Amino acid sequence: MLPMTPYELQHALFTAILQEDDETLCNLCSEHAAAIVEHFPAWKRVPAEVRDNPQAVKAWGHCLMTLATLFESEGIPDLMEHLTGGAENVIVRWQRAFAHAGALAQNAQYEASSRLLETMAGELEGAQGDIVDDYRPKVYGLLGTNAFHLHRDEDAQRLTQRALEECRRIGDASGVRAYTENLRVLAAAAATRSTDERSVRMLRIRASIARAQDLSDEARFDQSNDLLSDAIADIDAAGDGPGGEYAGKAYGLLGLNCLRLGDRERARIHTTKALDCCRARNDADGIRFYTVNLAHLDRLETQRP
Amino acid sequence: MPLGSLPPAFDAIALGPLASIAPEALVVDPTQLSDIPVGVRTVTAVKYSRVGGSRAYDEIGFRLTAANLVRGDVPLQTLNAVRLERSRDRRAEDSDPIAAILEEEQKLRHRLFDLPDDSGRLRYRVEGRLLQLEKVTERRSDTETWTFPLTAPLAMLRQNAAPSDVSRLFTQQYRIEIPGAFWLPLSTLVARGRLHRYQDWRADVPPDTRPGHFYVFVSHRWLSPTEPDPDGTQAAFLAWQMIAYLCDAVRVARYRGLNEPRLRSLTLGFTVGISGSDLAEALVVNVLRTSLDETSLADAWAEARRLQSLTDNNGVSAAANDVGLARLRSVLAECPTLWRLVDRIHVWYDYACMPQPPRTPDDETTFRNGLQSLVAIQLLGHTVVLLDEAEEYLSRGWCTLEAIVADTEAVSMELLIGSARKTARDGTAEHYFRALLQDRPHIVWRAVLDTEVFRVQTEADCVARLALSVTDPRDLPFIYGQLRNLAAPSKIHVDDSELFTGAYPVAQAVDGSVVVPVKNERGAERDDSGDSVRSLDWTAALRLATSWSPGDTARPEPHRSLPSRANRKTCHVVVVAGCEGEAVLWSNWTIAHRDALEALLDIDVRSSSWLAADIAPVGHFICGTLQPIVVRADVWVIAATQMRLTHCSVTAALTAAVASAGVPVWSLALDAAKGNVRAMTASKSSTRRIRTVDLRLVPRIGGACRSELLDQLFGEPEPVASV
Repeated sequence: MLPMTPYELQHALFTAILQEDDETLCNLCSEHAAAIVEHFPAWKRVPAEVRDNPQAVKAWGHCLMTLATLFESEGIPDLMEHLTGGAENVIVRWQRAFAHAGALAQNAQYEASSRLLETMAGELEGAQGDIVDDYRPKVYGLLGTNAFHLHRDEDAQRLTQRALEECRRIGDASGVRAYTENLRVLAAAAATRSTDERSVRMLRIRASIARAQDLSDEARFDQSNDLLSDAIADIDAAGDGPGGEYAGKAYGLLGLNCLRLGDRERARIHTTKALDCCRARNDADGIRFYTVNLAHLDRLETQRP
Repeated sequence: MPLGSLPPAFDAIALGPLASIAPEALVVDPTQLSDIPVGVRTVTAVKYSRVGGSRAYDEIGFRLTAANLVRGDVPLQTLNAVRLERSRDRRAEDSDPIAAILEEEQKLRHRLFDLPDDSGRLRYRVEGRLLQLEKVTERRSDTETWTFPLTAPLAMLRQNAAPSDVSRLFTQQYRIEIPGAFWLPLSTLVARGRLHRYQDWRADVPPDTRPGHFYVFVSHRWLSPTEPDPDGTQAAFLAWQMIAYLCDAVRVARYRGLNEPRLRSLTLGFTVGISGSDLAEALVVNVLRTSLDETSLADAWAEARRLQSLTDNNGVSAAANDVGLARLRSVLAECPTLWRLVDRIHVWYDYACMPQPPRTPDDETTFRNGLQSLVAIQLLGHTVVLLDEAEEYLSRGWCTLEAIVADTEAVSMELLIGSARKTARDGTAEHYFRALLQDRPHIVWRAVLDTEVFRVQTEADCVARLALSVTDPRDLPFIYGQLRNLAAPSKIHVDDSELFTGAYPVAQAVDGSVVVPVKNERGAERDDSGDSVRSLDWTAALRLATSWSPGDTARPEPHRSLPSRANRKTCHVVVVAGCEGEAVLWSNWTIAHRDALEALLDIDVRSSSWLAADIAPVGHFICGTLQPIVVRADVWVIAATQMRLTHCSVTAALTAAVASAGVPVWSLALDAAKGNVRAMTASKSSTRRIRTVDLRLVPRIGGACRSELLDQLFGEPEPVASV
C-alpha cells in the first residue's frame, strides 16, 4: 500500500463519494483512517479554485458531510465535531430533519412529515447559500408529494411547481426532469377525478402514447404508428390545452418507429416535428434528445454507400 | 408414525402459542414470530409446518414459509400462498389507482435512437425487456437514464449476440406414428367450430405426423366430468390464440427476415433483436420457413395486418365473443395465405384425439395405447396450456403431469388464456402459474420419494397428499406411475430459506486443522486441461425405475464409512442433493456403483456423505439434522446435478474449501453422460482454518437455512491462520 499525500487522499475520497463508489470509499477510510482524522480540518477550507463554482462548493460540502457521517457511524465523532463545532449546526439539523421527514412519508405519516418540512421551508426562506439551494427544491418537492397523498391537489401542484422553479434556478437538470414528471402525474391524477372533455382527452392521449411505446418496444411498429395517429389527432384537438404537451413525444416515437421500419426520410420528418414541438414548449429534455436523434440520422446518411 | 410427522429429535422443540396461530395470520403479521430465539427459528418453522400430523404437501409448504423469518426474494411457492397473494393484490389494486399513471409516465419519456457519442461511463440494468443505461457523472444532478428495448439492441449488444433459433421439431425429419396418437388439424377445428368427441370425427384426425407441419399438445382442465368444453369456450380460445400466434410469427419473419435467426446476447443472456414468444418462433422455424418465400410472406403479412385489431391481446377478446368460430371462419376466408399455413398446424386435445366413453373394444385398445404413449405424444410437439386459474389447473392430476413433463423434459411450453376470467385475461394467472410451476416439480418429486424410497405412504396416500383431483379416480394410479417415471428435477431453486440437512464435510489438513468457507461463493475453477475431463454415465441415478428397487434400504445416517478394497488413494464422495430423499437415492447409487468411479479416477472410495439443500422441505425427514464432519481422504468427489455444481454457492464454497486445503477434488455431474467428471482447482476463495477441537460436532436439529449455514456450523472460533 503506497502512502498518499493529504492532497491525493482527499482527491481519492471525494472522487469515490461523488461517483458513489462505496467499495473504494470504504477501503480508503479503512486504510487511511488516522490520516483522514488528521487532515480533515484542513480540508474544511474550500480551495480557491473551487470557491467560485457554486456547484463545486456544494459538492465539496457534501463530501465533507459524507465523510463525517461515515466516521461518526463507525464511532469516530472527530470529523463531525470539526464540522459542527461540537454544537448543533443548522446544516446538520436540516439534514436530520429532512431524513426524518422522508422516513415519516415512507410510513404514510404525511401530516407529520409536512409539519417538519414546513418548519424547514420557513428557515430556508430566510437563508442563502449552496446548501440552502440544495435543500429548497427537495423540501418543496416532498411537501408536494405529501399534499398529493393527502388529496390536496392544488397544494400539490403549487408546491411541486415551486420545486421545479428552484431546480431551474440552480441548474439541476435531473431535478427539473423529476419535478416536471411529477407535475404531469399530478395533472393526470386530478384528471381521473374529472369528467370534462379536456381531462378525458388528456388521459386518452397519455394511454395511447404509453401503449404505442409498449408496441414499439415489442417491435410492433405498424400497430404503434396506428395508435400514434389517433393520439396525434387528439393532440391537435387539444391545442394548448391538457394533453398538448405530449406532441413532442408522439412525433418522436413516430420517428423512431419509422427508423426501425427502414424509412429514414419519414423518420427525419417526424423527428424534426418532435423537435419543433419541444422547442415550443421549452422541453429541455425533448430538445436535447431529438437534436441527438437528428444527428444520428445525419450520420446514417453519411454512412450510406 | 403418522404421515408428515418428524423424527423424535424434534420433540424437544416446544411451539407454545404458535401452534394455534393460522399461517395466514403469520403472513400478514410476522411480528408474532419475533419472540422466537434466533437459534431455533428454523427448527420451529419446520415443526410448525407439521402441526396436526398428516397434511397435504402444499399445506406443509405454506405453513413452513409463513413461519420462517429467514427467507430470500423467491421462497417456496405454494397454492395457498398464491391464493393469499391474489386476494392481497386485488385489494392493493382497488386502493391504488395512481399506480397505472406512474407506470404510464415512464413510457412517456423521450427516447434516443442510439447511444450518444459522449455517453461516457455507463451503468446498466435490465428491467423486463428494457435495457436501462445510466450515465455515471460526478454531479448527481447530471445523472440521466436512457432506455432502449432489447428488440432494437444497441450496436454493442448486437456485436456480442449469437444465433439462438428454437429447435426444429423431430417431426420435421420423420413421419411418426405412435399407437393411439391422432392429430387434429387446426383447419378442421376452425371449420367445425367446436371440439368434437374423437369418435365423431375420427376420419378427420390422422394418426401420423408429416414434415413441414407443426404439432401442438394442448393441456387443459376439463370443465365438466363428461365433456371438457361443454360450451365451446376452450375451442374458441384455442383457435383464436393459435391464429394470433401465427400472425405474430408472420410479423417476426417480416421484420427480422424469414430466414434470419433469433439472436441471444452472450453478455446479458437474453434474446435481443426482433423476436416473438417461443410458440411464435417455433412457428417461424417449423411452418413459415418451410412454406413461404418472400412474396408469399409479404402476402401473409398484409393479411395479418388486416387482422390486427382482432389478434391484438392474442385474440382473447375476439375469442370471448366467437364461440362456434363463425367470425374466425369469416375472416380467414379472406386470408388465403394464412389459411394455407393454418392447414399445417395440428393439435392434440384429449377429448378430440382419443376415443371417449362409451368405447368399443377396439376403441378401448386404442385408448389404452394412447394413454401409455401420452408422454411420448407430448414430447413430439410444442405444449400449450389453456389456463384459467393457476391453482385450479395445478390441482388437477392430468394437468400437473403434463405441466411437469413439459417443465422437466425441457419441452417448449406456452401459456394460453383458457377462459374469459379477469385474472386469466390480464395476465395475472400466467404470473401465478409460472411462480407455482417453478416449485411444483420439486414438491411432486418429494412426494414420490416419500412413497418409493422412504416407503412412508402408499401411492394413494401420495396422490391424496398432493391434492390432485381427477374426473375418473381410476386414472390416479396411471398418473402416479407417470410421475414416478419422470427424472429428478434438473433445475434448482436457490433462496435464503433453503434448508440444509445431512452432513457438511470439511477437509482435514496435515496439521490437524480443518479448512472451512467464510462465505458461500465460487472459489474453485474447472481444470479443462488434458486428462482433467473424464466421462462417467450415471444418468440412470436420476430415475427411480433404474436407481431404486424394492430391496434397497434407506439409511438415516448422512455419513458412512466403507471398507478398503484396493491399495489406492483414498476417496470421499459427497452427494449434494435437492432433498433428503434424493440424497439417500443418490448416495445409495454412488456406493453401489463405486467400482466405475474407482476405476475412472484410480481411487478407493472409503467414505460417503450427503448434504440436502431443500427449497421445499415438505417431505419425510429421515435425518432432519445438520452437522459438520471431519474427513481425511486423499481425493474428494462432489456429486450433484450440473445446475447445482454451476449455480449453488454452498456447493461451490464446499468445493473451494477442500481445494484450498490442498486436497484434489473432482466434480461429477450426475445428469450428464459425457465430459461430466472434472478436476477442480482452487482459485480466489474466502476460507479459514480452525482447530478441529473448536468444531461444534453436535447435530443441529432442524438443519440450517442457506443464509445462516456457515454461521451456524462454524461460528467465530479463534482462527489459527488465514488461508
